Amino acid sequence: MCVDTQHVVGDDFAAVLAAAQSGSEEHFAVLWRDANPALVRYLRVLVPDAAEDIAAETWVSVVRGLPAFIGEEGAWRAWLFTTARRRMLDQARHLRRHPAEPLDEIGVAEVPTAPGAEQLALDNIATESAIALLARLPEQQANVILLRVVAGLDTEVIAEMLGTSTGAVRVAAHRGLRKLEAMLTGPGVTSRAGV
Amino acid sequence: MPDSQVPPIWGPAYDERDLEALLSGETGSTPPALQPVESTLAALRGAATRRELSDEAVARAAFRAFVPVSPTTGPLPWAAEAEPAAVTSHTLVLPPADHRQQPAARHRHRRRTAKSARKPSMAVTGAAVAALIVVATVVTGALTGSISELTSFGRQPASSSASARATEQSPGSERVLVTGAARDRIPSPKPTVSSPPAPRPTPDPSSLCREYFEYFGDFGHPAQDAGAAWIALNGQLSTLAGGSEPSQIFVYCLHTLGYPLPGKGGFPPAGGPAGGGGAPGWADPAGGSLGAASQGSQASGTSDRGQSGYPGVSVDHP
Repeated sequence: MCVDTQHVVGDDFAAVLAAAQSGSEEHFAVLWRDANPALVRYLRVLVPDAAEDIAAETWVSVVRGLPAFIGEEGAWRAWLFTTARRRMLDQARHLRRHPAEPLDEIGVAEVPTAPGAEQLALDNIATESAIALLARLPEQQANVILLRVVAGLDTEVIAEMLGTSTGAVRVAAHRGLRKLEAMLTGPGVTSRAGV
Repeated sequence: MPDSQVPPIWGPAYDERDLEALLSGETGSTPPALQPVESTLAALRGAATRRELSDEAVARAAFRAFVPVSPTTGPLPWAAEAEPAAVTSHTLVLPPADHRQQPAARHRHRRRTAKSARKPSMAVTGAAVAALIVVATVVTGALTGSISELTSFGRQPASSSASARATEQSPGSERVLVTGAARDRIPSPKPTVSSPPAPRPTPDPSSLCREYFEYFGDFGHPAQDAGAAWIALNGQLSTLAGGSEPSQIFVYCLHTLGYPLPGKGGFPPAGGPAGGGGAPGWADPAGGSLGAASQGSQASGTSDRGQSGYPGVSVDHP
């Protein structure tokens, strides 16, 4: 199943947000379905091991602050991704304080697999490849590109989020794209993103 | 140098505007060199996968736990259509935490309200009790202290209390008399206290009592040579009061100077005005109740109507 989440809310955002703030679970689900895929992709590039967990923590934080939120769709997305970024930093801080020790090697045959995982992988191979490519970029460049492309935020908003200038954001994005282009067209690299 | 290693003399096949267009999602005029990048970014913007929508139940549960559910807002028709059946069938139903917490919160609130409502009444009661204690201490403490001092003074005319001695000042100046818990400013003693005792040809009860109260007011500071006069006055008043007990003399003088004492009989008729101001709230040292003020009495402390020479007692001079 693939649902295009890029324009789920659109012009109805204000009404949907107001209904969700007044307690409508269905309207909140609309907001969630609109933003969660982008959020998960963003997190999978930056924190691949804990993306789902951080996404869930992010939504809990967002839900707690939802009744007090004021703003349009851009502000809503900026708030969501800012919250995710904070949870991400919390996670990194936690890992620094409590470093995880690797468990014993688990054989491939012992790895639990969900039913239909192969099919899911085939369905979304382009997205997975794109995420894998972005993950190879320097963090700041990947961050900026993801916030521009996946979250749909403006350069100014990203600069405010990251605490830097718009020029630095623009330069980081362009460098990232150039590096991506070099990776995709370089010798020995086969892109599957466009498959 | 082989041709393959010659660097291209032309610039890159795209510029900053092309990159910005890629980031903004504008398609159609993408340079060929950037088309793989465009495909990658399009994949990032692609439709949501099943995996990315699998945690909707958790998010809904969090929503139900933290946002008060409104019964008036119903589901959107188009949202219900878009909702996958698998998601709704696996929707977690957490017990509403706020419903369980509401009674405790209300209880705490009620308890707080009851406490806060009880506080003013407790404060008023406490203040009233404290005021009563202070008044009673002032009146009865001063009275009993005076009586005891009077008793000891009658036995040892030349002695005075240590506290009174400590506050003694030169004659003619205002002094502070400390008797028990009461601290009141009293007028300075009259020079007649230190005058030698004179014979009393006609003992008038009222003047004797007034003189008695003047002594009584200054009992703590008599001059050394005033003891004989006090003994003589005390003897005369003992005869008039029908007993030598200080309390008898005191009550007699009160009665004589216009304080009708209910329930106290046996005194000679006094010339003072009936129904005068009483001294409320103090105990009769002789055992009777003096506190029940007569009709028309006023609860007053230090009198502004006359000089009784005794703190807390107002005297209407006849």
